[in-house]
Amino acid sequence: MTSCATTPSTLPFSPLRCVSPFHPTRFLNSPFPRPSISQRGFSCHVAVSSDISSSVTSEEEAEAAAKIGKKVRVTVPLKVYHVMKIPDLDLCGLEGAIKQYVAIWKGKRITANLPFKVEFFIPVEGQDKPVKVLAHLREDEFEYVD
Amino acid sequence: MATQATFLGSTLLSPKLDSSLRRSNRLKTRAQVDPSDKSVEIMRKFSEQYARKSGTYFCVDKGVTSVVIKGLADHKDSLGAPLCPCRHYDDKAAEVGQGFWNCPCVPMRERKECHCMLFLTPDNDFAGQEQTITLDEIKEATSKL
Repeated sequence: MTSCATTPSTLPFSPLRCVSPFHPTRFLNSPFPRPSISQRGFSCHVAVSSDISSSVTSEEEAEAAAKIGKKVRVTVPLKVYHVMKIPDLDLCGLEGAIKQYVAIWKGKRITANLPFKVEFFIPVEGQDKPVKVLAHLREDEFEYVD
Repeated sequence: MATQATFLGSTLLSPKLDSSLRRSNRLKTRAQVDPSDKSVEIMRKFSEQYARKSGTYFCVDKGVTSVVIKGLADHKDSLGAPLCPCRHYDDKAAEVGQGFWNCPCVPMRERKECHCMLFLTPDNDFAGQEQTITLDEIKEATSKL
């Protein structure tokens, strides 16, 4: 009885064993090593701090930076209401350029669901200069123009 | 053997482990502090003004409107800006700094899409006829929570 209490390897699976992925050698000798007293407590450190989860890798930043300046065309019917000079504007078929990728801000990840800020120049009747329009788009709402 | 396994189960879940779990749960529990009346009033006035300006209406169920206004007021108090209360964020401070989700959020400003159901376009099934809400209505609706 006493031996069973100290050798949980008799159980098919010990729910409290949290095998650290950084110690693969544990598996070499036995999949269920005898735990020492210090290991009896549940000590699985999986907590991810907000700093780690919201930090962006340099690859992601480079990927985002590469898209800036690319010419795009809107492929879905998309009405925007924030342009004063054009109250009800449908961007479908219009071409613009990616101005900014807003989902990365100062090296941190932002949960923006319209991450591509695209700049359009739209001609308006009765005006010589086209109106500059900035709109946020999703990746599936536009296509790249060569 | 089964008896031994059961005994083992209870030994492994030692009182020490159980209490440490309880302790960590207790640490996570935080009392919900109400936003200040001043912030609620500011967000109430903002909501009325923005609904008028954007031609949108409050939900038929003013409880929805009230909860969102309170959530905005709460974020205004805790973060300095009325971050959208209906979303989850990894880094609230960064979100406030960047501004995409600061009410009125970008989807609302550009597309009149408010997933909180605070500002509803007239064609929306849940849109009411009103663009106003009183502080009493907000207090009454949120007191039941």
